[in-house]
Amino acid sequence: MFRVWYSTESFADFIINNTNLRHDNVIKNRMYESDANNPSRFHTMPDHIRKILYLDAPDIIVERDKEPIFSIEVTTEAGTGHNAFQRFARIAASVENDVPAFYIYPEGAIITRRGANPCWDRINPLIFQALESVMNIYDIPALLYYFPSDIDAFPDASAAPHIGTKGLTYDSDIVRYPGCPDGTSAEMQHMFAAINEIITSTSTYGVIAGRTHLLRNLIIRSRRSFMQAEFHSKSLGRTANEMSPASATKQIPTHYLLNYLAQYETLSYSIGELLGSRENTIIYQVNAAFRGDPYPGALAAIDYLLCREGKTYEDRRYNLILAFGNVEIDEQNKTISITDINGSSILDFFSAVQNSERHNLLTKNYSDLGSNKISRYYMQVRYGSTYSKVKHIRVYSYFADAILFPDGSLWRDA
Amino acid sequence: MMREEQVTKAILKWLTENDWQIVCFDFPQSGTGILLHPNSAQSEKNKDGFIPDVVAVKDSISLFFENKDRFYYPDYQKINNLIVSDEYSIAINELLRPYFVNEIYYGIGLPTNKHSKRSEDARYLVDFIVGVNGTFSVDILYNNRNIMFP
Repeated sequence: MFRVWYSTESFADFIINNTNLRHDNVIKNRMYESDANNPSRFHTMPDHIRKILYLDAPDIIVERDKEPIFSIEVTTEAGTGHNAFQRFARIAASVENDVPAFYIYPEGAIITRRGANPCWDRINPLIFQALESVMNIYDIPALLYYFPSDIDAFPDASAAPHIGTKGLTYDSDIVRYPGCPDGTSAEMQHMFAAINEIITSTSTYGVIAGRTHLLRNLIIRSRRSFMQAEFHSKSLGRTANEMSPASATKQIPTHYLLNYLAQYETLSYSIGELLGSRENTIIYQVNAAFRGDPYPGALAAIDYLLCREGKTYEDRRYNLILAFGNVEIDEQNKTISITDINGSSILDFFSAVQNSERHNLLTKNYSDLGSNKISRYYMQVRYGSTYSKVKHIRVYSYFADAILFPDGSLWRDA
Repeated sequence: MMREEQVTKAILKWLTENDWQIVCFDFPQSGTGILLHPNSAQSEKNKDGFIPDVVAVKDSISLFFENKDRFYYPDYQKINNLIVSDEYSIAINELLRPYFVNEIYYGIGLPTNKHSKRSEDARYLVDFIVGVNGTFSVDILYNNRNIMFP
């Protein structure tokens, strides 16, 4: 039996009715994304779905016999610069649980800026390299399909017939599939074919073994090759480090970082061994006030692109550090400095965490809990505030070995 | 409980079955909406912009819907602001430029069973209120301007 967990029911119907799922017994359930934004319902989600939702929630998760078999994230946003990576944590959430992920993203979207002619904002090709890195690490498909658009037929954006919808082409059946990509397009047909391969593979080999066979599948290999070709043709000779967000990183010897963090050491406390176990460190420098999107997804992508060699954060060649502020490397003193540009403060981080704690029931007495709160309380007893923190706090603290602000720092000891 | 997505989809179905042309629509997480900027906007940022939930055109009439899964008084105020002011007139005229439109009406969509006394009391703020009932068909709950609905 299949179950489709969805954020938007129309998109669930679109996937079911365009793939071999339509021939099976399918149950649809609404997905509640986190304890932070759905405190009354999130605890009713099954544990195996909650694990995927820990980082961020994709638009759809499809499970077979209570095991997830794939997820889909769809976006219509223009994908230049960091924005291409805004939803990347949703892909990470899926593949980190060995669940294949599909990403539907426009090759370009028309942007009309005041006083200028409409133009195509094109996808940042580094997204293909990031997905390739994910596949190399997890041996699980993470495939991108273009949201259908006029971009190939109408390079002149002002002539595009769908300029009113940013050049994107939606399914013509707006009653059943409002807001869904054009299901007759070649890109969506390719994606449906890949989904059917997953359904068949999990039928043939069982869900767990079926997922691990997928990267050998011809249709999926073909898409992977297409994505690699897209990276090369669209990157125009630039290396990954010349493209955002990798271009916002700096590599330093780790002892520079340790010298900087030495300010927090005391007679009775020394920085733990994790950071020092890696010779070099990558710092992702965010010159913005402390906030979420698009930085959580970009941080996740940098991890796979530049740091990871294995399935967990312990398997990194380089430390991954997130810095809010301007990072200067002091070669003379073999350390770094961080100066404030946009008013980022570690107090912002603490404030966000403290606000999330308002959702926590763990300080309540039994007599304070109505029957509808007991199951949620019990979930929090097991998981603490794992799911009740806001997304960017969850993602930052999952991926970053340390977070540096001009006025304070956080780091992992082990 | 009926969700906003279901309210909007039922209204879209009702309109298209009755030959209204859909200009644009939006519901939570659909990503399809068109952001309309106020005339005073200095930039393309989202601040102070609004995204209509449904805009439809037929026979030189255009309907703007603000939909919710419940009664929500600020929506009635927002609709009233569109009726009594020209705050978004440039963006609305641009949106409707490809169509021949003489009259624009602004109203509310919500589940029929959420059209409560408070909704009745606030109806003077809007041109129309349509409800979506338990069978996902549409009820005309208020039509102050005698709009030629389907």
